[in-house]
Amino acid sequence: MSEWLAMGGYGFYVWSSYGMLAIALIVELAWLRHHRRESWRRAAAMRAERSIAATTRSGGTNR
Amino acid sequence: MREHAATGAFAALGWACRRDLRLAMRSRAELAVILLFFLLVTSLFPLAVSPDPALLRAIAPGIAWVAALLASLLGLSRLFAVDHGDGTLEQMVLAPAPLQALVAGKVLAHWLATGVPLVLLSPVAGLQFGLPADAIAVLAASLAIGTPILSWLGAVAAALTLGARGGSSLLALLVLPLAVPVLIFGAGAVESFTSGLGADAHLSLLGAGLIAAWVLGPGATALAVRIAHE
Amino acid sequence: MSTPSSSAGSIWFRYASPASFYPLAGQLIPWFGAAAAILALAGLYVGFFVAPTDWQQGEAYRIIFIHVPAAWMAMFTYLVMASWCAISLAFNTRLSAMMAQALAPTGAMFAFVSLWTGAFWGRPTWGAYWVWDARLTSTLILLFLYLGFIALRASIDDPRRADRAAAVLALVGAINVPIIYFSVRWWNTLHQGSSISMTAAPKMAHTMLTAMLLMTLAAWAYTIAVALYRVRSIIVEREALSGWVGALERPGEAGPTMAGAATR
Repeated sequence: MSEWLAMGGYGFYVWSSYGMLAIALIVELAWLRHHRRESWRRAAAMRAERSIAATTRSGGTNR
Repeated sequence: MREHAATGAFAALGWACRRDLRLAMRSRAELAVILLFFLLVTSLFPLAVSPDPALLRAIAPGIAWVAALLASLLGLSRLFAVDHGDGTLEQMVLAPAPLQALVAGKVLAHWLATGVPLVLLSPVAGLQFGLPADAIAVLAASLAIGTPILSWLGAVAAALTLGARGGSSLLALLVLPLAVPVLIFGAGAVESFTSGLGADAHLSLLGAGLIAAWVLGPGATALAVRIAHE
Repeated sequence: MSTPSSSAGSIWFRYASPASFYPLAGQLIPWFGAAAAILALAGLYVGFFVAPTDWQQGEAYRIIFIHVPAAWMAMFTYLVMASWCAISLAFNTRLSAMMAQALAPTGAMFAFVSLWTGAFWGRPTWGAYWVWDARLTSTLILLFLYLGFIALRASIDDPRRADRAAAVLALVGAINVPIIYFSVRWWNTLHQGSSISMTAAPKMAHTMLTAMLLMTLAAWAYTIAVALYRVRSIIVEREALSGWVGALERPGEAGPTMAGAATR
């Protein structure tokens, strides 16, 4: 097993490459999830803002 | 009717070019700064690298070209920004004259005001690096053909970044990758010449690029200007 | 800017509106994700356990199983992105521009991975982390083109204007990519000769090619899955105020919270 990991002496290079790919994929997927949460949060905020503005326009006190 | 339209386009180009040149002449100091910047950058390299004459002669074309590229970036953000700010650009968009012609006039003026002086100043840089006279001639020729291409690339980028945050650094990020072929063939022309292979191939390719820039540039830039005014 | 209704008949137009594309994308993502995982596992298995050791480069060559697919995807994704940009300009559609927006980060990621793996392949094979090989250098410029696209989008506030400006930029870049590649190759062969070239790969065994093909297909499926996922978030963000978004369930919460917020 450790012989396989050593990759004929080139282990550092091979695993640095595959390792960076793994990191990049993890970062991208984590960012995807974060982006999704953010967009839903922002969308909800925009809708809340608009409904408040609507109710203020229709019958609220003038500020 | 077609003749009338053609004279309309050329008249518009001429008008826009003359107008921009007049405005450029009023801010001569800014133009001088661009030229001084060019000389400053070329002077920095021997200081940063080494005064060895052979080395300097070898890297001279590249340095002169990079310096010219950076110097031409300086004036680009103002190409459309000023007119955009006071509403003149919007009037150009709405005008009956073809926007492509007006834009071409502005780009031509930009080249005449910044590109041509850089071409004329390049022998100074060449002498700084000890280039022989014929190599300097090739350098100037490559810049003469290449700087209009840079003006067009810059014009498209400047129009796209109108009203965008990020200013001139964003502009540089957009222009520099696109300018790589111009840089390669421009500096390569001089190197090819000095190594005895002749600069014909490089200069022809630059010439082709110049034609492509003038064919595609007006349309792309006009489209970008229109997008900025929606 | 309203898109044709589903009565127009063709699938193309039926899914051209963000509202109808959103659920379709959601259904497609698991399929492409699974395909990516399976293809990657198969490719890695063949690459590491079936393909023989290269007599010239030893085990170091196994990096190509991710380097070449990444480089290929970086280039291909840019072209797809530019195509979506062209469509969005020609037909004035929002969804095409959103697809381009969704593809850019993944393309940039693959360009970066391609450069990194290229460097770590170059060091043991040719002695240096960075050789100004034509393909690597063009990929570096491609990365800058991606970042410029993303930066331009980010710096324009109005989303539709950002769509169109970035689309023009992507098309200008797409025209330039072959010119850039050609010029860099010219420059490279003139200076270094063809002794150092990553395109002159060692004569490849059949199994090596199989592994590379599998990994390339895996990368392609991955990109589609990720882009579909990302475009759904983009759709929600940009279509937030439209009715159909409000009717959707918010992820992680029971019940139509969005509709509740709208009727408060």
